[in-house]
Amino acid sequence: MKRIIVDENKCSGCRVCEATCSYIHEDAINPKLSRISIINTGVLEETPKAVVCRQCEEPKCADACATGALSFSNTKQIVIFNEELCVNCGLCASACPYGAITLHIIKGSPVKCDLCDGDPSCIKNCTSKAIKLIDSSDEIEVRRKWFGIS
Amino acid sequence: MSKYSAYCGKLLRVNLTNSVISEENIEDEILEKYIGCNGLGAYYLYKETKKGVEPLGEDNKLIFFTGPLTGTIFPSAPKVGIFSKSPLTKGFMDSYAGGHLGAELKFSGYDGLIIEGKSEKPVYLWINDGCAELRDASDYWGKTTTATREAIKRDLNEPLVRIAAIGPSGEKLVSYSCIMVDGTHAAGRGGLGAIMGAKNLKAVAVKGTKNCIRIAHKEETQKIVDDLFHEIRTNKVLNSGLPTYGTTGATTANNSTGILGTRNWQTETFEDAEKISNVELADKLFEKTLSCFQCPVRCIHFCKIKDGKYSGLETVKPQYETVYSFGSLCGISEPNVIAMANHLCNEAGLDTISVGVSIAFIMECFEKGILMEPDLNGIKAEFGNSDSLISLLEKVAANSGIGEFIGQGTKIMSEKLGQGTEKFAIHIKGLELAGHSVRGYKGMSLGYAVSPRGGSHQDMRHLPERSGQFDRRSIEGKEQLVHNVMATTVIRDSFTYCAMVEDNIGRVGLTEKHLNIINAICGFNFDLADLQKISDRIINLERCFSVREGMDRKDDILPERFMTEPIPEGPSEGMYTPKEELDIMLDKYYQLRGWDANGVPLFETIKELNLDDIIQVPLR
Amino acid sequence: MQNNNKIQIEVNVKFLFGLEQGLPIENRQVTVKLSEQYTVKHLIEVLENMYPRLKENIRYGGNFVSYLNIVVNGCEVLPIHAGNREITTGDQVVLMYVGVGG
Repeated sequence: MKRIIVDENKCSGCRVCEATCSYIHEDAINPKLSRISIINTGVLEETPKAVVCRQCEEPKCADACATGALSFSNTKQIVIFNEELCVNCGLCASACPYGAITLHIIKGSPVKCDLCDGDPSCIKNCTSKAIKLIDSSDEIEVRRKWFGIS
Repeated sequence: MSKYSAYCGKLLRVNLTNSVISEENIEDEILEKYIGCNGLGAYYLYKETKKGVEPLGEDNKLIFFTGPLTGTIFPSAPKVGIFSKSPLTKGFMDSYAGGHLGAELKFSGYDGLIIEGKSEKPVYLWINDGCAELRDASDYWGKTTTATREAIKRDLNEPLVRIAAIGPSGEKLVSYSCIMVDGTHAAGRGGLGAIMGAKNLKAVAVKGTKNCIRIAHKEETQKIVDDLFHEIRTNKVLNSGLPTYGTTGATTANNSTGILGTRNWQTETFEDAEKISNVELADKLFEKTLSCFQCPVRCIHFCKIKDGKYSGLETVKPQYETVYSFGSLCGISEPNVIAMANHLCNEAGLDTISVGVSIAFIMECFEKGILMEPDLNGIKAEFGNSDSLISLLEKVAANSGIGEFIGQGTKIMSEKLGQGTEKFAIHIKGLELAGHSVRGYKGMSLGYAVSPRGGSHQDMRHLPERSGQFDRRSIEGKEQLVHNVMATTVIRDSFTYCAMVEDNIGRVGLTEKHLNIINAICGFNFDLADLQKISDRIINLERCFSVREGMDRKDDILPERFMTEPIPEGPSEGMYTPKEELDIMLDKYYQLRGWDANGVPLFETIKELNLDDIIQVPLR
Repeated sequence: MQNNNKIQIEVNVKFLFGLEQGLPIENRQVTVKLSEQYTVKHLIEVLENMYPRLKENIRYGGNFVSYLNIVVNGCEVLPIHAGNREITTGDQVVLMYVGVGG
């Protein structure tokens, strides 16, 4: 599967990705409309934590969705969202164990990463080079290679 | 709702005396005249305060404003400006903090806040997505800035709110107290923290998730933003120097040209500059790179003292101004001590520049035998004595003993001491001098003298001369240079983008870039003449405020040292700016600005800039 | 002196504010010997031959980056004037970025 991962050691917490994502998808800037969230924690807000859809092959959000608006696409290798089927119930957001789905502040529908059709806009402007698109379900292997964790 | 994009079009008015909080629209006509942040701050402060208002009194106002670029996709525009009549200079004061507070405030639905009156007991303001309330802050009174933020986050059960807070120094009305924004930023200058303290306002906490910020012209904006991102990515200073060192590279750079303030500006070369260089600091202190909202430049660092003195301390790293004020200016060559001093200031809520310059003044008094150990609570205030520096700083932070005296600032200290100490009291209009030489750049001599804030390097900029683009040794044409640079700094602070990217947008005079940015993002139809007029309007409004409060040519003066003592050694040896030279530059500058020979804006100038609706003449 | 090509001069060159990044230079300074031509421009050419990566740090698209600062004995020399500025033995040349400061 394809998904975005963030190296939190490299991330400076600037949230350029949030503003870019929100603007590209929603024509407006608001962190809640971003598919990726950088949460600056720590005493000096020095420890950024990234939250973004993990594109699970067996997605809990899809399990919770009564209308089939969310599902894993085998062809695209990501969890896709069909807005026409959505009834804005919000169960997907509650079901996601990673907190990666927020609800649209106006519409109430899920706000989740669609990988921008394979060319994620968040990666483009990340000067820290902390965001990466990967194509592997073996997260541990990826982290080892990319973050130098052994 | 404004017809212009990127604004919220609303401000929040908070009266602390009667606890009334109300929302107000900001009229489009006002946005057209003043654009944002600096402009709006100056407008509301002038309009809403009476002549002679007591800085620490109930009638003074504390105004927060963001700019139109704040919270948009425009890179490096995170700032929130804070405005008031300064307790230090008794004139117009604006100070800006980065971080995420500005954007958060806009996401909560407000372009700005006007805080007025005085609370009976300590309170803090909690702005939760368009709902605001004043909450009891009695339990936080006396707490450091970090402890305050942690307690507020815990008590609100909101771990991610953004907070501007004062520390114990602000509560005790130390005249150069700052307002800390989160843990890493300060609206440092001019004693704005003391105004919060006088109002019994401990903090402002903001959470913003609901307001959407829109852009007027998508295509144009995208191109501007993409181009600027490209420039930042390919610029070695912005994409390598600043993320590695922050602004601390200026220490050795200034030293190499002989303009690094040393031992209270007795000299301008520091023999131990290499020991406090950017490379040393990065090696000994810097850890993770951090940044403000929507800023790819990333000039902040989380800092940890790895070994030696104060080992284990985790804090935010000092930037250049602090390395200057506690380092070379106090003769200190230990990075750990500078980091500790910076940390103490952040926690107590003190302006690192003003307190460093004030302590350097005390050190020179000690060196000259004007103040002795018994006068200084037994502290041996020698240049280079790091334990003494920390002890004096702790006294200032606690506002106790000799600290109470030092906390009044260099101007008041020298007036009280007399004995010729005025000669080396390094302040302009009462504001202690930043780390860029007065004597070493003729343009800065004039720029500092006419800066509405006083000893600030953010009105006039030193960089056009530091780069060699303009001859720093000549007074020729400097009135025009100051005029042009101040046009860009006031627009910078009104838009509000950061000084880090000002070179990319234009530093000397307004350009098509300035114009395209504001027209594309907000949907204005300005031309360059309009923008020039706006910058002139804001500069004149600030000037009129200070004139109304009693300032004029007599206050556009440099510390006596810089007008009488040539730099004694080093590459800039012999440079100084005698009063006669300053007077020549002042005359030309006043004329260029449409001010009279005493530095008071002429009525024609006020009328021409459409300021006659709020400015009553005569000004005093 | 400039016409006598047998004379060699020695100048000390310092690199500040990260300009030395990626170069094999100790203590951010180096002593350079020049002969035949004695201008700042020539000095930079010699340095660029010594350290090919220096080009990346001081040029963009062949031209000097706008934020390059050249200082000879404490006096600023604009990159476009580097060809005229003569140097001699004992001179201290600093290459640095203008940076921002504060």
